[in-house]
Amino acid sequence: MAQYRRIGVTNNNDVAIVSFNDKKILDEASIQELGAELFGLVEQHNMGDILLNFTNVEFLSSAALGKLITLDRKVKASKGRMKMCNIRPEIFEVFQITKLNKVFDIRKDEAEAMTAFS
Amino acid sequence: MTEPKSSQNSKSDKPAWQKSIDLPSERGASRLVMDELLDNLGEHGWASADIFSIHLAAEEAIVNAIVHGNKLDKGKKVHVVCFVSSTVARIEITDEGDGFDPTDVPDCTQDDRLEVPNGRGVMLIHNFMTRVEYNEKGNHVLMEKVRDA
Repeated sequence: MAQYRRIGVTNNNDVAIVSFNDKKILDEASIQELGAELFGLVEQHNMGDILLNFTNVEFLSSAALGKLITLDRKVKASKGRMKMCNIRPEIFEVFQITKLNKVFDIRKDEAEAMTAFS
Repeated sequence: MTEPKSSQNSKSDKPAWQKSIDLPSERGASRLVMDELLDNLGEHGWASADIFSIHLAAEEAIVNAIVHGNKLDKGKKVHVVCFVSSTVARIEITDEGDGFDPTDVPDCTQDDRLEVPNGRGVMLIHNFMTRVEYNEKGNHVLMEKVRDA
């Protein structure tokens, strides 16, 4: 498995479960690095199904949203599925305002998301 | 020595906090003011959801000023003025760029733009703050959040 700085990755029934190491995803350099690590899951490690678990995330900027949108497009292009879970209310509001809750498949928790994958 | 007058409502007794600072036009410069702003919102009794909103609006506006306004020109500064009381949080941001027309920013929630990776900052600012005003040139923004009663 690759070495990551911005994310943690575990594998559960061929679903890559991704956690975030940063509580606040806002620093431009960190976001670039985060994007590269996330895209690598699809482009280098051929992960089909990806679950992003936001338990640890307290804040994210619009630049981070951009990386999530690009990742979602890459996953869909490679015929994979991407879901998100454990999003706190303030961040969910950001998704609602930008209507990204229509683009992303957002689930309550890991259990619900894993059921949706199966 | 006179003791400060005690009050049931300590929120209203806390003097307002103000700060004026010039930020360099480099990525990450917002941190030179952000931690202090967030600390002061907390000390003035703002709820965590409001602090999140103000944090996001301030971060997006400062990044826009640095990247799109001053175009990361090291010779230019971003001037930030903050005011925090227990009822109002106000942030004014001025860059040295050519300005922009906020009505020209495309609506990122239109179906054909939903999956475009950028262009959401201005919309988030408007949604999270009570009042947002730009000067005519478009290189100065005033953002204010009024605390719910």
